[in-house]
Amino acid sequence: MRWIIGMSSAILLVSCGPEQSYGEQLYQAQCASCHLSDGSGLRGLYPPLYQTDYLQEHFADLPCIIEQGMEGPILVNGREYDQPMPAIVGFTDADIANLMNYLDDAMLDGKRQFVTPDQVIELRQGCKDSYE
Amino acid sequence: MHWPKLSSMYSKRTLSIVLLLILTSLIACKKEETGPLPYYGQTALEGTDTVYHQIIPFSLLDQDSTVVTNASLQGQIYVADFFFTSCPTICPVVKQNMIKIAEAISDNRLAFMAHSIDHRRDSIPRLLSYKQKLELDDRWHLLEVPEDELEELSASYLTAAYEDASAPGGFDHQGNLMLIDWDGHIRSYADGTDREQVDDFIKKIKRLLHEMDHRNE
Ligand code: HEC
Repeated sequence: MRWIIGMSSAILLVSCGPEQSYGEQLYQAQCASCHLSDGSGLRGLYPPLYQTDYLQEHFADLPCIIEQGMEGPILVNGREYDQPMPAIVGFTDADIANLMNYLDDAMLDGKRQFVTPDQVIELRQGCKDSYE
Repeated sequence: MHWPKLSSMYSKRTLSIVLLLILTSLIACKKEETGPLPYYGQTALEGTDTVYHQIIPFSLLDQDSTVVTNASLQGQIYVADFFFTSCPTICPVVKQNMIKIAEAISDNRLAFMAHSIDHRRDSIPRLLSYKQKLELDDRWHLLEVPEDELEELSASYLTAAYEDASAPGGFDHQGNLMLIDWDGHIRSYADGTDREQVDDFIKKIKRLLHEMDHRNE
């Protein structure tokens, strides 16, 4: 019995191939429309996320950036951007943890410790009234 | 071993009929891809002439405070859409695809008319800064549409755009791209969020430019 379950899950895994992680799905659905699928940004309007000093330095701010959006001029890899980012609503703490883990892997060096939902709750508590 | 000759298996006649059929279908397909584009919207008969649906007369201000009218676009065809600069959902994708079109076709006879539906927030300076941030060239007009003209104008483009507090960003609209010819007729449509439709739309624009070259023949 056990080997049947083992075999069938192995077959399932193989036949479904490399699947988009949940974090990647969230990114593609909620962030890629502006930051683009590969995080390269759109000209001078939407800043890139891929390999940016800004994301590197403000990684822990992600829960607040997502929850509150952003406004005001910022410098990303030496280029100035100044376009409001709307708050992205509807994320749970677990969603944000998944998204952060994906962003670290896909956009940065992937060297960070795995983010857990509990850590997201903690980071959210530190959000100022508005992210600027 | 020797191969039977084709002519001994099928009569020459059948063979030539088959070849003829293949040839005609090839020509027919080719014609489909190079002939005039269809006309969208209601058509009417005036005497013996068919009158096609036209975009209503407009007079709008663009990002440089220049007045853009049907007449000022004479000698050009254009791609139109409805958007707003703070749109959180589909507009960024539609704008990416419009930029892709502009990159694919550098012809100066092609203009871009992006109508803002957010008359409150999208002031002229804001439209200008949006144009500069996106590094758009002079073929682009980012237009202010007065509140009371929006409904009639968007309807004339056969698309929907209206204020709706419950929609993301406060406006509800379709991410359609419309291709308008030198006489204000709608000649093609695409869902501006759909990459395949946009690629096909690019081909249609090239066909319309070709049609423009040959329209007085
Ligand atoms: C409607 C477009 C839009 C969407 C959707 C969007 N952003 Fe942004 N984002 C922006 C803009 C515009 C800025 C620049 C803000 C400024 O100028 O202050 C920005 C800035 C950022 C920054 C800081 C700058 C940088 O490039 O590192 C991060 C991080 C970020 N966004 C992450 C996200 C994530 C994660 C999502 C999805 C949950 C997302 N954004 C969804 C438009 C968007």
